Amino acid sequence: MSGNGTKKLWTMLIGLCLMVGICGCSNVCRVAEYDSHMDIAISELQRKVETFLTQMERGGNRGEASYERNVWFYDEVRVDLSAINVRAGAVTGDGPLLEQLRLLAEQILLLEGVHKNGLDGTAIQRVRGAVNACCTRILRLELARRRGDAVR
Amino acid sequence: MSSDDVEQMHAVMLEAAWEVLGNRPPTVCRCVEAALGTLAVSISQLQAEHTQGSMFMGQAQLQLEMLRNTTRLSLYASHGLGVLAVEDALNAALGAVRSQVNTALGGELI
Repeated sequence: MSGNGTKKLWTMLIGLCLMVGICGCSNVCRVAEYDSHMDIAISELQRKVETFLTQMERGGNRGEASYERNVWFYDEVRVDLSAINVRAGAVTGDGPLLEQLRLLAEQILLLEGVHKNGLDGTAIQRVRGAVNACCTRILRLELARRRGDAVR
Repeated sequence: MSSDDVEQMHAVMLEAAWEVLGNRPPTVCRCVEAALGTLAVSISQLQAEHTQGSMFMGQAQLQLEMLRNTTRLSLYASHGLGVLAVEDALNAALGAVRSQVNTALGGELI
């Protein structure tokens, strides 16, 4: 085989190896980068909900704990969730996070429904567990991204 | 509801969920078992509260929906189940105990 022929063959082989390497690496992809704003926003939302539930526990059956006197809380949380969703939606392809946020919004809506009919100690415990589970899951996703874990 | 009844409900829910999910790795199995076990206990607590008159049906339904979402999250955390599989498993599990629970309550909790 001539020198040029051998050179061409080597060039093709190296090119082929590079292509295989690049295609192989593309299977592992990070759906979204770590977002510190999301991390902070979810932590703050969880803190806001926890503060509210603690106040409701103290309020007992008194008027201050009634739904009508606490509509402001649901309005605020609705606005917070909207902002968080807009940010999450701006990140293309972040399916897992959007699904978790949808569940969190639903839990808050259910909390509002429960509160309209009375929020007793047992209900508060259940609500607390439900909302914390959502927030924990979202934070785990973000912290996994911060560590650099591949998230599908 | 006695602990035997809760265990029996758990077993029925698991069987229905496995029919839908098929063969899964052990980590997923443990996750599904734990999540449905917690749900079975919670359903029995809601039943008890409603029967005692401390919670009316509407409240119980809302709280069950909340518990359902929490179970969804636990199943997502298994990393072996997608959104559709989780939904199918949960629907199958609750469907399997719907008649038993609703009849005991005299209303539509599930």
